Order: sequence, then structure tokens, then C-alpha cells
Amino acid sequence: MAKLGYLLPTRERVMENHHETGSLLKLAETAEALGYDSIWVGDSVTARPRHDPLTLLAAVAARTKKAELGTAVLLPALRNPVLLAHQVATVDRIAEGRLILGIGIASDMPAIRLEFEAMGVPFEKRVGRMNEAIRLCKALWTGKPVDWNKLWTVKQGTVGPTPHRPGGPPIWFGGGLPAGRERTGKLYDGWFPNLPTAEEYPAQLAEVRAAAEAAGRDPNAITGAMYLTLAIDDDTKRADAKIDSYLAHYYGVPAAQMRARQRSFAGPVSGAAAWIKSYADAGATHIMLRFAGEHERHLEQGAKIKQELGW
Amino acid sequence: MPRLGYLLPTRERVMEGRPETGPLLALAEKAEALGFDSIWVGDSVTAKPRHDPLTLLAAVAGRTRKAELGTAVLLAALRNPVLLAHQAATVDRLCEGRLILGIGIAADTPAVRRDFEATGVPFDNRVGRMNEAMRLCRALWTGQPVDWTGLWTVRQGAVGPTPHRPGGPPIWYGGFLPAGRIRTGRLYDGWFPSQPKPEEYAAQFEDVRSAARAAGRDPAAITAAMYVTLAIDDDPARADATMNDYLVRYYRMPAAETRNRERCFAGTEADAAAWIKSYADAGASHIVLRLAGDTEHQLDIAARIRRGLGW
Repeated sequence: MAKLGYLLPTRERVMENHHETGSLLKLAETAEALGYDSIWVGDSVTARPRHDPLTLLAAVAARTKKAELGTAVLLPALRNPVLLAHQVATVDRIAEGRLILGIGIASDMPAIRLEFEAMGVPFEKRVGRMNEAIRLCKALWTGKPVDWNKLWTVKQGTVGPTPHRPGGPPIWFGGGLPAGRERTGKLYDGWFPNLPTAEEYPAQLAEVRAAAEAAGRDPNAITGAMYLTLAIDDDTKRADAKIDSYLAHYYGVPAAQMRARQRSFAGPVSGAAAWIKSYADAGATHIMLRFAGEHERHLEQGAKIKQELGW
Repeated sequence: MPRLGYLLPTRERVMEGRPETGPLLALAEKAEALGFDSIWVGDSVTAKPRHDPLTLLAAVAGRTRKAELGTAVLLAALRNPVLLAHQAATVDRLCEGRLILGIGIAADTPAVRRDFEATGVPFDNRVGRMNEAMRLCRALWTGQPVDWTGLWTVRQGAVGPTPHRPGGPPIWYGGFLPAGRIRTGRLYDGWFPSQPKPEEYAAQFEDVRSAARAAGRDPAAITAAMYVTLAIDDDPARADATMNDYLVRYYRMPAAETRNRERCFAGTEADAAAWIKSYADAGASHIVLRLAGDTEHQLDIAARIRRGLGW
């Protein structure tokens, strides 16, 4: 049995010039009512514009009761870690401990470099910057005065409130490469890739767990998660066309390139169910679905799949 | 008819060790139900810890329909303006154009200097930094790609979504000194001080309006607002003690010092009504109340005062 999550289409809505949030909040409420275990939003400031994830999740938190709420994934290196710790703690309070902080480092492309420049953050060493930022967040989340003297300088600083969960929300890292798997095992609470096939998943999750063990951490405390993209349609050809058009539009590169880089499915509902289940069989315990358009219909189909799988 | 606002006790709750947000959201809903025109939250990162204002207002936006939502006041210089523009735009979408961005520069105290250090921002020239940040926010809020070379560098940067209100939320400046009044008139959409006495208010606001006129702006388009603190009790001596106790805990300095700097009222309901009305008579069209003591009870009294004034 795995948890099933749903990604809100914030990027898609901004691309379609539908900036209003009423329909996004409604989708979140629908997803919770349909039994989805979690609701997610992506992050990008200027590279691929969409709603700000933390303020949007704060509103979703105010409108939902049970679903976990997460970022898929937030780019911590772009943000000042003291302000990030403060905002995340506030959102975790509003969500009463339902927050999951998915984090990532964005790939190296011109638009991402421009984004770092606009945020006044050096692009070089963004992995080290992210790791230190999260360490500083965790220190601040204890609620005790923090002294810090590295990339950032804090003197007896505390932010209030502390997060709802003692120590702060779980942090899932989205790294799909070997170094990312090792980093997850050493430092983070969940592994949240979008790259591995179901066949590759168990061996790669085992690497994460081995790295955890080597670092003296409990390997079983690390969540195996997965980020999947789907277009569900009985006509496989039509489903294929939908996902290609979706990916090409979303990333501005040929769809084939994206389908090689992240796992996606196009086909009928039975195939989708089997494909989602294959990740659970491979060890994933939390699977997040990004739908290529038609959200109400896809949400219902996803909920049906969830029911049929007995999740 | 003047509008009456209510400041949520975020600072007080963190000080009291009750950082849960459920009761704060309930207070916001109650204030709206009682007819308050606006709901406000203050800002401080490490100096005087409290909830993050933008994420908390996002949650309030998710729970309210009519009331305006504002920051009283946000320290804009502490934040990267691209991220601030992005977050404020998202919150303005969530509340469908009800956001008012109150901004200020914090007094020069050691704790505030540490706030700047912790957020990685130089303390010097913080006024210029705030003004440029707001100019950059307004440029980004147009939705057009922005090129900027100043304290920040942006190349063809756009954030999405744009705010609900074309051009973005009104920006109210909390500056009370002569230079702050001129700055408001030249650059901002509202004047939001906490210092002037009722008998000083009209003349000082006239400074704001003449500065607007001199800058070729419409002086009538600038909102005259006021931030006041009250402790209301049938026993004036008890009201006074409540106020002093409140201010000492809030600012960690002698109450007399704060009462000399900010306008505070301690006394009976009838006198409180007359005092609030004196600001409206002096030209203030939006008055924000910070209530000392039992906030729930004080909120009921303030609502009664509002009804009594026929606002």
C-alpha cells in the first residue's frame, strides 16, 4: 500500500494565462475529498513562472484538513535560509504538521542561471549552498538561539514559530543521479526522484539506504517516493499525443528529450494502474502524480485507480 | 466612512509560547464576521519573532471573502524583491485583490541590525534599498519581461502570476518623519504611521499630499491610514496597567518610551470610541487597531465601537 499524491497545475495555469487561484484551491479540495493522500506544488521564480509554492500551500493548508502538503520540488538555494526556515515553519503550523519539504537543485540551463542572478545568489556550488541552507533551517527549527558563521551569519537568532512537527517537516531530495542518492541517504528524510524506471527503482533506493546506513542513520526511516507524469486515455495514440504536447509546451524542448529524462505514461486506465503499482512493488511508498491536462477527469481516474489498488 | 482594521496577535502568540495558527485563523474569521474591513499582520524575522506575514496572510485569504488583508508593516528591504514580488502577487491572487502591502524600514536597534545580517542584507542605505525593491516589484507586477541593473540584476525576467489588481497591491508606507511623509507622497499609495496624535495628523498628512502634488501625482489617490494600539477597560487604571504590561513584553523596553513614540490609548469604551473617531475627523480613512490584553474580548468591544460610530 502506497500513498498517492497529486500535483496542482500551477505552471500550466500561468502558461495558459489563467493566473487566478480559486480553481487551484478547488482542485486541492477535490483531491482531498477523493482521498488523495497528498497535494503538491512545483517551484520556479523566473525560469518557468508559476505561483509561489509556500504562499499557495499556506492557502491550501487553510482549506484542507488531512492531506499532506508538499513542494515538488522547492529550490532552497534560491532563498535566504533564515527567511525560508521562517516561512516553512509558518506553513507547517498552518498545516498542523502536514508539510513535506521536497527540495532540488534545478538543472544547469540559461534560464536557471538567470533565475539565480535575479535572486542575487551565485550559481556555482548550489548543491553545497542547498545543503548548508537546510542545515541552517534545521538549526532554526529547534527554536533555540542559533549562532552560524558560514555562507550566512546568524548571531543568537531565533525565528518564531517553530514548526508543528518537532525538528521541522521531513525533507525529501529530488536527486536522480548517483551523487543525489548518496546525498539523500546521508542527509535527508526521503528520496523523491522522477527519473528511475520501476525496474531501476529498487537498486537505486537500496543505494540511498546503504548511504544512510554508512552515515549511521536508520535506512528504513527514509521514505521512497516517486514523481510521475501521466496522460490517461483509452486511445493510446491520443494519450501519447497529449503527453508529447504537454511536455513540449511545459519545458520548451522536444517531448522525446523529456520522456528520456523523466518517467511518464500515456495510455488507458488499466495500464496506468499497473504502471503506478509497479513502482509500489519496487518499494516506493509515496507516489505523486502529475497529470497532463484535464485535471478533474484525471483526478477521478487516479482516485479510481487508488481504490482498485486498495490503497 | 472610515475603514477599521484589526491586527492579528502573531507576535503576542509566539511570545506566549502558543504558536498554533488555528486560533489566529479563527480570530481572522471572527473579525471578518464582526464587520472589520481589514485584517493585518506585522513582520519581523529574528528581532521580534512572530509568524511569517505573507504565508499567514495566504492562509487568512483562504478563510475569508471580503476583508482586505495587509502587512503592518513588512520590512521590504530584508527580502529579495524578485521573490517578494512573486510572493505578494501570489497572495494577491489568493485573496482576489484584497492585499495591501504596508511597508516600513525598522528602527535602528541592535536586534534589527542582526535581522539584516541574518537575512544577508546590508543595513546601510536600507531606505534606498526599500525604494528600489518596490520599484522593481512594480515593474515585475506588470507581467512584462523586466530588465534591471541596480542593486539587483534581472534580465528579461518575469514572475507569474501577476497580481489580481493590475499593477499590484497598493503600497502604504509606515514612515512618520518629515522625510517619510515626503517619500510617501512621491512614491507610495498610502500613508500608514503610528506616531501622529489626532491633532497632528491633518497637518502631517497635508505634507504627504503636497509631496504628491509636487511629484505630479494625484494627492486624493493617497490613502490616509493610522496604526493605533488600545487597551479598553471600564476601569481606566486597569486599562493603563494592561497597556504598560503589554508594551513592556512586546518591545522589551520601558512602556513610557513606547507610549511616547507610538499612539496608544488606555481607557473606557466611550473614550476609546471618541479617540478613534478623532483620527477619522482628522482625515484618516483607514484605522488599524492593535488590541492589548484579552484580544477576543477586546475585538468584541472594538466591533461595538465600530457599530456605535456607524462605520
